Amino acid sequence: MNIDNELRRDASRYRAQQPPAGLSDKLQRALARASRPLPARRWYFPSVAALAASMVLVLLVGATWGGAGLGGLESAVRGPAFYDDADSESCPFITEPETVTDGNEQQRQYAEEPDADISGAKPWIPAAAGGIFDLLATLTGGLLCVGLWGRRVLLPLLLALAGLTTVGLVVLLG
Amino acid sequence: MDCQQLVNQARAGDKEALLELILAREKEFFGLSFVYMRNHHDASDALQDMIVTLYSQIHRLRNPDSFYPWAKQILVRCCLSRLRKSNREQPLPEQPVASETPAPETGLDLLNEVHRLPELQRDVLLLFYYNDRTLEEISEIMDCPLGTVKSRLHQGLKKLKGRLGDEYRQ
Repeated sequence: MNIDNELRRDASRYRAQQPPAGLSDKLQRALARASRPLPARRWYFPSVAALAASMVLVLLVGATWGGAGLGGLESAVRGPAFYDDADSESCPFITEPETVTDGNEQQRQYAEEPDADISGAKPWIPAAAGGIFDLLATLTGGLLCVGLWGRRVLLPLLLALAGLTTVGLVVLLG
Repeated sequence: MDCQQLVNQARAGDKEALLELILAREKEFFGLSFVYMRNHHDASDALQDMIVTLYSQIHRLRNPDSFYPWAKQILVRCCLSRLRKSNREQPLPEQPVASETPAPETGLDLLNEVHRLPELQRDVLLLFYYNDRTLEEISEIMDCPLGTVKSRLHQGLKKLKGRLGDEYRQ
């Protein structure tokens, strides 16, 4: 007896199996409970990307032209905070600005003129940028929740967004 | 209403159209499910899993003509997933499970023996003999090279012959 033929014969026997009487009702009930994920919208991912890009843009604009952001940049250019302290005399690297290497021309300039207005900073810019940044972050978060509700990827994305928002607000307003 | 129209309606979210598509080949789907699950209750449950999956995934189906092969593939996956789950919870007994169908004239219940094979060999044999899939299709479904599928089929048949040898000689 050939096992191959036997298996084929056995398969045809099972294919002729009569379904139970209530099967269609069962399937109908299962289907009634079934829900469908929201259909993918073509505008969804471009919108999230545009909002995220806008957040980064606002952050850069606010940090570059805003007073607060430039305060951070300025202090970074000037060097450590103890530079203007009386104790700074004890530091040979700072009391002798002319010893600064040629590659740090700008740093030397700030060292000579510590009170110079190098920014033309507008104090309202960080506050406005912070507000816009916050609004964009809220919109992005809302859009993520609407589009990805119930998916595992939502939580990591929201955490990343919260991190970006915190860093952005600290840079803009802090 | 023709099949293509029903598939398009189902893709648009029409549950009745999807149900009609499945019920049109109810016997075929149930037979396939039964081969894997070997009892009416589990076979019906696997079909329910399938219809729920179909409803949530049908918008991804590009070609309406391939609805039935696609639906059967989903049914096979639902059955395999249920089988693996039940095997984890309750390993297959050494003695074959009594099937709800009367044994054929030979006095053998081949399907029970197939189910006693190692999982990968069992899946290949079920897909090849009971689901009429080609070796190439099985290699796609199981995501493994064609040579591996052939080898598993050969080993499965060999093992089956070894187990049934004595009974065949009776």
